[in-house]
Amino acid sequence: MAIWFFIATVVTAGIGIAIGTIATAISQGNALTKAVESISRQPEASGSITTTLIIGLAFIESLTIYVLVVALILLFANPFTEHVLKIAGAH
Amino acid sequence: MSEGIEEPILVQIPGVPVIITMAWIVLSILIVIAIIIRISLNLKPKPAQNLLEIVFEFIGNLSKTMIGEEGQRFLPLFTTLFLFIFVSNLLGLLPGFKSPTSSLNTNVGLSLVVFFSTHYFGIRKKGLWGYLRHFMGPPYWLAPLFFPIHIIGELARPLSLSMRLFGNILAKEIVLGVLAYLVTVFYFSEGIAGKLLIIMPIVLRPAIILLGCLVSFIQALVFTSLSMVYIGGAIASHEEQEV
Repeated sequence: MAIWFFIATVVTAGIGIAIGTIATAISQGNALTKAVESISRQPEASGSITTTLIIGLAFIESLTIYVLVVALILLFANPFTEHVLKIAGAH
Repeated sequence: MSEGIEEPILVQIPGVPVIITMAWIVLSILIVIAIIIRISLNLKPKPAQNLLEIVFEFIGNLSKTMIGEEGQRFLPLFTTLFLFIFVSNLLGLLPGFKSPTSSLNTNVGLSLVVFFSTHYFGIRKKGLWGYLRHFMGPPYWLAPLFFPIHIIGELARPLSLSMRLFGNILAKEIVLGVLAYLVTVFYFSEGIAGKLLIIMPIVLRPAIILLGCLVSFIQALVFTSLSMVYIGGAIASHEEQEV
């Protein structure tokens, strides 16, 4: 019984990271493409474009980092582990 | 958090948490470097002094583009944040050490400093009423809607600021720990195929360390420039806000 809980935890963490990474990769790729295009169009503005790009990438990336934190909590510090083990032990 | 795959810690003071010890190491590194450079301060700079001047100039230019001329007043705060985060990120790459920033406690402390200084400087610049007025939004009849949204946005800033640094640095440390763990697993495995697999983590680990150097710099830069954006938004004058 308890084994299914841990299987579900690991699978959820893996799938969650995968989905979060796909979305972030696509959007970061878009942002980078536009930045490179605008730098090649206006090389003199490359400094401010790079700064804005890095800050924007950090904002996008923080969404994946939230998923990562949730996955790490599920894997290493799951709050329901004790509860599930107690229920499984009672049976 | 992840006891099984952590690298062993080299320096440990009994009774003191590992993260605090590592933060003390970072602080002593920075203070010793600062004292040495202060003693040998010269008009014709030596290489070490040159390096620190580059850092100061870099942060100064960044704050000038983000905040404007007023940004020079906050240069000590930004430079301290940048140097502390950068050195503590790099410390985690050495075997036997751990980044202080890979614990959420350090990051929440750093981001609370940014949070409170944002509001302190904002209130000191505009007065309490003038500062609160920019939460209300431009049209006054929308104030009941805008005020809670802005408050939630303000409270989400330290959360995202600390979570971003924490997640990046902890992920890097876990990847390094897993690769070190895989070396032992493959070494003690049976059969020639398992023993040959040991090449994979040994080749991969230096690449991850190189990536870690880049991530350390980027994350320190992102933390510093985001705090510049926050403080710059708090002390920006009303005329700019209206446009």
